[in-house]
Amino acid sequence: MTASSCSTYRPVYQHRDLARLLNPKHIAIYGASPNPKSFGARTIANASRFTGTIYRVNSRYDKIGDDPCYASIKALPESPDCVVLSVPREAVESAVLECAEAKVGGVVIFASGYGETGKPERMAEQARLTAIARETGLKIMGPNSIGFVNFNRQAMVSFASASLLVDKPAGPGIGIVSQSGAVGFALGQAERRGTCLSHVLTFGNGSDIVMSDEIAYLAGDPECKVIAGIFEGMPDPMQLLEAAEIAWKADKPLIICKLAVGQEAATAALSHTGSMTGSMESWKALFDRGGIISVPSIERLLETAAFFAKAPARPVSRGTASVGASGGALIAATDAAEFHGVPTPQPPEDMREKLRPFVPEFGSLRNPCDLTAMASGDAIILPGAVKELLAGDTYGMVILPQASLSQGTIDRRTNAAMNVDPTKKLLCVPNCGGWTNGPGMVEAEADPRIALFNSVDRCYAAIAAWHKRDDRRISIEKNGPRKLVRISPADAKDKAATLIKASNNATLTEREAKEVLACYGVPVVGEKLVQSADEAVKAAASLGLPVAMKVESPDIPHKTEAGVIRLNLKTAEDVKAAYDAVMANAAKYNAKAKINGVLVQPMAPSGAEIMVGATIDPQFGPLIVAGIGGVMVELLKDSALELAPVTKLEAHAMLGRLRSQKVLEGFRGAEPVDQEKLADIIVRLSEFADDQRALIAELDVNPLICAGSRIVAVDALIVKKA
Amino acid sequence: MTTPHRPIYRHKDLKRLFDPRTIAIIGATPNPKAVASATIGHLDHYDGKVFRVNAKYDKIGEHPCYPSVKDLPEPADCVVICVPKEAVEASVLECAKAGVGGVVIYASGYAELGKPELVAEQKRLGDIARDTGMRILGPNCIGFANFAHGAAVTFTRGDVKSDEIITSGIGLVSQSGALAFSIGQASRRGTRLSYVVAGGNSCDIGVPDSIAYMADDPHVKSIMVVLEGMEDPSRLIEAGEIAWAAGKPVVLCKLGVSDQGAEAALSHSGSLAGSPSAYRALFERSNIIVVEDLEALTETASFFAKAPSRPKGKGVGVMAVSGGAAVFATDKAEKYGAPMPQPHEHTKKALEEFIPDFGSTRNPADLTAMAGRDAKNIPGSARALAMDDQYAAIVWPQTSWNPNTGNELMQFGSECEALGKVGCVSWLGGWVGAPGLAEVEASPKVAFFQSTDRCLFAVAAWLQRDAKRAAFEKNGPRKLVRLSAADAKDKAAKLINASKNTTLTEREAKEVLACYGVPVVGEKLTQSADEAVKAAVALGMPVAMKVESPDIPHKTEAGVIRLNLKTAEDVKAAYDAVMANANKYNAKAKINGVLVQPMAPSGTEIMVGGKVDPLFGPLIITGLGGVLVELLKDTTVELAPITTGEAKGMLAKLKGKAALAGFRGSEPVDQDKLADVIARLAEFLADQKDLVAELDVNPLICAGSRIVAVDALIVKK
Repeated sequence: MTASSCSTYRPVYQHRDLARLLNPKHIAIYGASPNPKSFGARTIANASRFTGTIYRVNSRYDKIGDDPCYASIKALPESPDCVVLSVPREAVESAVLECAEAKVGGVVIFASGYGETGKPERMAEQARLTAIARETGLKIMGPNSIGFVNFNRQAMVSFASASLLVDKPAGPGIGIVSQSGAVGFALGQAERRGTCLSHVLTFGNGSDIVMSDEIAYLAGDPECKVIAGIFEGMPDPMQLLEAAEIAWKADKPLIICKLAVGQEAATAALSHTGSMTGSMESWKALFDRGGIISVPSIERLLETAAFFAKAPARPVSRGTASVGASGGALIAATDAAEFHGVPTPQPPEDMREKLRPFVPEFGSLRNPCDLTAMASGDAIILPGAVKELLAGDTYGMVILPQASLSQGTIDRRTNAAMNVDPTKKLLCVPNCGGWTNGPGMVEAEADPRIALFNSVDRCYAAIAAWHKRDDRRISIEKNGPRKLVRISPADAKDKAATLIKASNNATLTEREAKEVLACYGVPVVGEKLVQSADEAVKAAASLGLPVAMKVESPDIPHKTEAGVIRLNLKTAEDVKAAYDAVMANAAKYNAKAKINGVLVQPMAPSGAEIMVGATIDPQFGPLIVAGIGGVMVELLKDSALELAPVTKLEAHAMLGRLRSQKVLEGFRGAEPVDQEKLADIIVRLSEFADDQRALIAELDVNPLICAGSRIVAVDALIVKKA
Repeated sequence: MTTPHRPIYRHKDLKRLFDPRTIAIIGATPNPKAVASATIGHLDHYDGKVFRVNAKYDKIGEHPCYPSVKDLPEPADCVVICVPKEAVEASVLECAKAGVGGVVIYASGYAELGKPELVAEQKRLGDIARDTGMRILGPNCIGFANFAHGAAVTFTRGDVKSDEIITSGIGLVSQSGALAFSIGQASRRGTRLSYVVAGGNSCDIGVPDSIAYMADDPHVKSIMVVLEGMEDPSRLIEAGEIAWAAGKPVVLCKLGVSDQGAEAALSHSGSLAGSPSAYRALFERSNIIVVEDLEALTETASFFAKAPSRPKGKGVGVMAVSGGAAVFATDKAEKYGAPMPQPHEHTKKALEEFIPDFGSTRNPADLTAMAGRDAKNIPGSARALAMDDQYAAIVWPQTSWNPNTGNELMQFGSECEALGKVGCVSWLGGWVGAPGLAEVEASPKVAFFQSTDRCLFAVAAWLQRDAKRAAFEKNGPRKLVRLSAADAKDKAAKLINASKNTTLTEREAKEVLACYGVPVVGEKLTQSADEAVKAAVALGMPVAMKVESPDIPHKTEAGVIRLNLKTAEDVKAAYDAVMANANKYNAKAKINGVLVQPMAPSGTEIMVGGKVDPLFGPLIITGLGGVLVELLKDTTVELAPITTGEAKGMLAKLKGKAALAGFRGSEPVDQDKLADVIARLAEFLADQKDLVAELDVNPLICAGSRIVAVDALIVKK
């Protein structure tokens, strides 16, 4: 797997590029065989509902059963849109060349034993497939792929033994994209519990088509409403960012579950599909940048996707109400709402009046609205209360936690859903009970007015994600689309590069590093080495008073004891006197000391300590990180990471994510930090990291002292690229 | 809400009610919609006798109906009171008189409404129970079910599956009735439940009593609990100990953990929700396994009902057909701290027979899509891993479902079980109702999960529970050893009582803590330079000196502070200087004298606080001092008093604990000494819980083993 993909970035394929392969009118099975256990025969059996034409290709047979079998792709009556290569690995490459020549739409390669083995010769074999795709324009899914499903075409193009009912769905649904074929098809079985799916797409080792291409494809497909992706790692995360942008523009929510978040798991992933997994922080930064909804576990993926497929694009209100017959379940709902930051406002007076007839004496005329066990023996109470809660714009979602199942509860839920207009809001039904496959569940899942969950927690997590997506939309409406505005001077890049190259050190000295950053307009503690009292006065005047002065000498390590430091000098007279005093003390302390001169520095104000760092990641490129300096960062890893360069807004948002951001707001009587100015500096440092990505490996500015709007980098470290 | 202290009910106290030979329904009626009829309807499969009681009828259908419980042909073990609230109390008294074992009260409208007269009404029921020895479940409860005898004593309209006799399974205890019976419906997907008990407002029988009952019941293998809040948390500790001694794992989900959720809980069952961190401390003390979500409850309890009580091995082996699923399971193992050691060489050799070369014989083992090619591959791999002594559990994340999947999973489970290991299946697929899934769930040989998160959480909790058990066997049961002086309690109480302030002055507070052997910064008020020198010598140099005067608030500006005085001459000179400056600053100032304090060493700042909670009693809180506590709430809470081992455990749980280990070149904090100080402060809180409301020692400066409380605050009750 190549890690240095930054240099060979391939824009993602668009819908039209993959339409023949993934939405085929004809499918050819290359290597069809009468043996029912063969991958070819299993694929043909799986494709039995396909609404187009199936061709069998194998030079060894004229017929398979009653169906004609063709000797080669060329021999087919038309160039097929999709060719499934059901042949051993040794025969794959020549078959791919044959398909390319015949201008087929694309091929699916089942065979394993390529890049995932980690063996150089097998990786080379896979690279040759990539080269064929690049040179001929033929699209390749795989190798080591399980295939795909297009529900609208009723095409299951796979050898998988998973029982999947590939019926034409009731409407646009969820498109699943999975790096792991088995997981993708397992998720596809959600169709059996009533979930509306449009596609299950996999890509195996991704020699040509990768996850990001399939996301972009689904974004352009009218049958797909929401995209659900699951993956371990990918060589070029920037492609995912591009695909996410395409999905955002197409107004299709993209929900991602990232596997291999831990060390052990990353090792397992490397041996699984040979993919590099990257740090979770980098991925999170990328997901946020792309407006991707990230979920922490597989079981959350489809429930969240199904919710988004049903939910209106925008909430009429952020407030939610919960209602039901089980007080305990309502408490669980309220806990989850608070945990996920979903507002649960109390009903306004007029709504309370309208609710009153439906709330029994022992119940609770508030939010959560506890209707007590009385509601379970009554056909009116629950639907009536739900109707009132749905009315108007007070609540954007109404949540009905499902306790015990009985025909009565199913009827009441159905009646309650009658008043739902799914273009405005939904009835969310988190199941709290144990009978997860009980009666009425499939129907509820298929109902466009009901968002069904098997967990109260997941229900509110999905609502919170929906709100967050709306936040992004509001921000774009207000601020326009993301726009990078260069802040640093035009010549900063060249000037800084010259300085970096000029240094003989692998790690630049502090003074060199500060000089480099100064090119970008980053305020650094200036320092001047002077040789006379007059020079010192000049330096102090140009640096700005007050200043600190210290003798610079390799032979006087302990300056305080030697009395060769003077702080907080406020006037030219002070500076002059200080120069003479420290030089005299130096001579007194050690007459033989080599004196470079006296260093004049402006006094750093006392203030909040911030750290800003950057690294150049082989996968993600330049990354910038900001945190509260000192103990906070080191002890508690309280920092925020972004892909560099960042906009001012993003820099502000980084500061907003810090758990200890109170430090910036004037903590314990300190002056509040000028966050606008601080964000400006973070942007400049991110521009530096981006500009110099080929020259540097690491940047560490720690601390950046912020006293109100006086912000200055007191120490800086730049490590050159090895 | 003070609860009269009574011992926890044990199995024998509740056996007649929960395991009845006879059940009577007061308020039986021919109306099929009545709760009494719903209750009788659920008793179709009950193996004891059912009596109908109602003075209005001689017969209901074919069945005789008795005018009162005292007229029954034999005494009723369990009586269900299905009458309106107004008639409840009289019925309860009648039952008590008739020697009934226990009653179930459905009626609502008691303490959950928060009105004083209704709270009093509920309390009267509790008094009857206490005075007569008859047990009461409820009021405001949905009832209980004993599936070992087909007795579903409830009016729930949910589908209660009472036709199958379950003699070994999970016992479920809940306050919320609707939740209890909806969670209980897990039996419909194969989960084995032997009991469901929903206590409602708990005027008599509370959650801890039901747990203690189940701990000693032969039909219960593990206990699961849904808790909103309770009035006597210490009884839960007792229940936890009884269950621990009986070897029955208790798995619990606490509702009402958010502020708004807690408010809703109060109106729901009238229970005090308490602070989440205090509950966490309580559960840990009780050896209770806590799950965050309701949906995790059943699967975790079911796992514990199936897994061997002691794991044979310290880690988990993962095997999968899907590499992605294997990666996912590995993520979760790491997340929950379940070790995944690499297999022994001989295990790898054994696996090679079943795994192609592009798969992986590491842990996780990737069998690849080829696994289905040969029926030997899955059971063979399971056996190879189960034979490895490192693995106590084998986890199989299952992806797609096909007609053969059920068989494969059963075979997998059998291979593990035969070797004394537990085979766990986590089902990743979307097909929740797949055919054959319920059979897998019902099988005692397969621990089945619909979530990989939950699977690895449960396995990790099982391994951690065993580590706890091993420590228990080695060190014996928890033993509190008093550290503070014998007379500390009386001496400190006198000082607290003597203070006229509601908040003790810093000096008073330090004096109180000193009784407990807590090192505090000493200070002496002196009236002359000579006195100052004597004080400095007694306190130990270097010292700090400051003029004490109510009229000089800003001491630095007035120049009346001197720090780091190292010699008698320095002290003398400082005394004269600060007094002169004080005089210069404000000639009319009232001067109490000059305070001499030893210089506090520079070191790590720790805060130790505490409060006396109306629900939990004395609680002790520890965190890193200064900014960290204020900004990040990085603290841990324990129920006081604690052992020094527990005090060390509190420190280990701090996110910023690296600060204790010698951060940035500073001297490592002597954690034994610090734990000693924390334990003493916990003893102070426990001793003075009737006098003190709050304690705040911040900071406690720790420079290596020199630990000293620089500031302290005590708020009286």
